Amino acid sequence: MHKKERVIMLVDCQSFYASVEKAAHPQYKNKPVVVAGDPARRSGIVLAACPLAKKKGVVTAERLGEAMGKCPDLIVLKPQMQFYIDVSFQITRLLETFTDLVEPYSIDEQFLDLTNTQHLFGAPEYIAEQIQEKIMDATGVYTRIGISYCKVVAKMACDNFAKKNKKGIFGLPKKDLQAVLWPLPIHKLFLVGSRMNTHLLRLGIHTIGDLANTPLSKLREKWGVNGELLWKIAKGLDASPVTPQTHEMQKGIGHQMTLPRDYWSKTELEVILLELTELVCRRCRTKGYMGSVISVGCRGANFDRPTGFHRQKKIAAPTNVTNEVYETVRQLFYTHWDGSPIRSLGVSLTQLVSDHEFQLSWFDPFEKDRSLEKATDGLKDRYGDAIIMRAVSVAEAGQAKDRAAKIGGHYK
Amino acid sequence: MSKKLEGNGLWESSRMMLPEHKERINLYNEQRKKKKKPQLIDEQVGIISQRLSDSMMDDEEITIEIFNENGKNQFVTGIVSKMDSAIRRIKLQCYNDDCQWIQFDNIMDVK
Repeated sequence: MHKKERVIMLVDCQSFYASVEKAAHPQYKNKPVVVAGDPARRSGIVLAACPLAKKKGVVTAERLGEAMGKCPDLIVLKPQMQFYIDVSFQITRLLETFTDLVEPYSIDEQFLDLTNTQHLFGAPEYIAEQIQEKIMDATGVYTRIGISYCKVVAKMACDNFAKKNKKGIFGLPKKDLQAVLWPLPIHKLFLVGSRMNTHLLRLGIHTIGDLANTPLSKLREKWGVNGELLWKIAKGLDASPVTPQTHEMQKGIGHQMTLPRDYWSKTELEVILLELTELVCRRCRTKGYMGSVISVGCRGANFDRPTGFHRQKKIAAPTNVTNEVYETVRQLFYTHWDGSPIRSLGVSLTQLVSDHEFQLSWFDPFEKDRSLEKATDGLKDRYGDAIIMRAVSVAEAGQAKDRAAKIGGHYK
Repeated sequence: MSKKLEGNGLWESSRMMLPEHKERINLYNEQRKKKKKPQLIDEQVGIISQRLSDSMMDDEEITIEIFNENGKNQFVTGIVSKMDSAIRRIKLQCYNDDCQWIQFDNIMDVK
């Protein structure tokens, strides 16, 4: 039987954080607005800039000081991460009025599969217009939409064309790949970063078409799976389904923290490791998981001379008791740390199993911890994460209090 | 070893999702999966109340099926010791001197 060609869209929100803020603050409608990590500090980073600010030369990820130099009347707003998550979710719900197959890919990008519902709404381009209008009416966010027969081409149609044309909508059918996508320079290919770009140019691969016409064996030999992946992307081969349940599968629970300055003393680093372990274990306990693989990672302070490691260890029986996990975390850390200053640390627990049943032992050294944690978790659920914390977290090095007020490292 | 070339692997390995965002989505999906209690026909309601009062009158042991929104209904066995029609609940006396109040509206079946 002939299989129907799919109708896939990628909906991308323009300057998402800034657009949401502008909708919430109509008084700034005609002003250049940025959302910045920490508006009080000129060293804060620009997280999002509205089109008016971009026109003045402000770019995402630059320092606030530089941005204000280019645009003195800049309105600087503090991020409200929970609010952005809520709006993103609201957009998911709006998109679900067109199809039940909606997959959020990031906070401002979502995939849709309209193959089996498009007959209800009209031609794909017309559906895209309805989507733009609906989202604009409800949230004030302008969206750009790439349309194609698979996810990866829809993504590239959006990034390379829909974001640049007037309508904000671009359909890239299979038959146009050669004529439209292949002439683009190779760095426009999805997943090609600056490093890969250099490698590819060195091989004489300048355009997406060049890569598509390179023998697969050559790329496989050079870069293995990643080489094959890029080749498939260039040829527009992507069978991945739009998967709404994709976020349900949890492979592991991890937390990572970038420190406000370099830490190098053992006592300070131990505070952070313990805080991270506590966060990870608490999340596991809330979700009813235990893990048996513990990993620790860290990165040095000097970005030009990268140092750091990422190591893991499997323990005998799965657990979610903070003190038990922390023993292994400490041990891993001290085995692999070379003593150089550290800027970011991460702890994670993987190979998760349900905590409904666990191995009882006659001399369970963590029995007390378990009941203590039950009590502290209960307090935190009720009064927030900052209600009770370990005494070491109150020390100068501690980050727990600060972190309790944040999502993704930015203010809630 | 790498799953980038299978299933949804390309997107799962490349995406950036805040854990709080994922949680928001999952919470909603869980709620959506929850079952609604089916409406019982009058006849079935009649049978249920008959069996409940029989149990109370004759000290007869019965098993009650209680609706659960997760899809897995709960079963409890015992003897009805009290019926409170004003707040529509019954008291079930179980084996080990345990007793349980059951909301009449949550009862799916009685055997």
